[in-house]
Amino acid sequence: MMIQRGPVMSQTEAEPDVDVEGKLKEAFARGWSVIVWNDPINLMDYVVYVFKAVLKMSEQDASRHMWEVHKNGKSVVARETREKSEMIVHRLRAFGLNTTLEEAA
Amino acid sequence: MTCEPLDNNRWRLSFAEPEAAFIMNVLARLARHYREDIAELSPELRTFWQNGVSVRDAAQKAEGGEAGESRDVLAESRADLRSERRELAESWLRDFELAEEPWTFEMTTAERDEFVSMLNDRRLILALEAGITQEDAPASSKVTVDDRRTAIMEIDVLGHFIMIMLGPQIFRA
Repeated sequence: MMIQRGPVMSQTEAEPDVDVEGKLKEAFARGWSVIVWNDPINLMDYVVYVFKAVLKMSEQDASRHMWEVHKNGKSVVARETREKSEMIVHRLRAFGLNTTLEEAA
Repeated sequence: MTCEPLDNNRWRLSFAEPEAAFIMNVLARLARHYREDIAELSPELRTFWQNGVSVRDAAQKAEGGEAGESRDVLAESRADLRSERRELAESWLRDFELAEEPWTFEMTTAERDEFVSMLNDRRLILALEAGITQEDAPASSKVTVDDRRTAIMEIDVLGHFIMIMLGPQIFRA
């Protein structure tokens, strides 16, 4: 005997408009990394501000990525579809951050 | 210089006369830089304005494909950005020239961020032209906003001007 834990969704309750296949494809297509590289000119507080403004990061996450760039030379700040990654790279570079797009392994 | 919030999305920037003159000079130089053809820039500046895609290995580089498409898209958007910023630099330069002391401007957050980004462009361009490295710029990696730091920077800039003016006499062989 199987014990049902939690609510059961009947056929009639399923959402017919949800493009499950499309969502799965998009999830698997997030294979493009946005990498911010260290440079000697951009100010630390400025980089934190840009991460918060462009990537909507919390103060804590933005600081963590800034320190990662500063100490390790680079940080992967986003992994998205190619089109979204291009847009992020463009915006970060418009602020002067040394940013590249790279196809993930 | 001061920058005070007016509401959630507007700021008032005020400059003293020497600061306004300095910013006007920066805007004029930026406008001139943005007008230049990317192909005519130094290799370092060309990389700054064009490169936006990195590859992990030679095999991936050889594949081209989507990475190549992204490189083209980003290069085009960077060229458009230079064009937009040239117009902005020229427009703000006109505003500064028409304004009188105190040089006061109101901007939205987006406009202020664009202004800041363009001043940062000038810093990055200067660094690339002068070959500034991490070892050369330890102080600028963590600038604090206080009167003492501002004074030190102004002393540095004025000292630089003095040395340029006196240089021909001081540095005689």
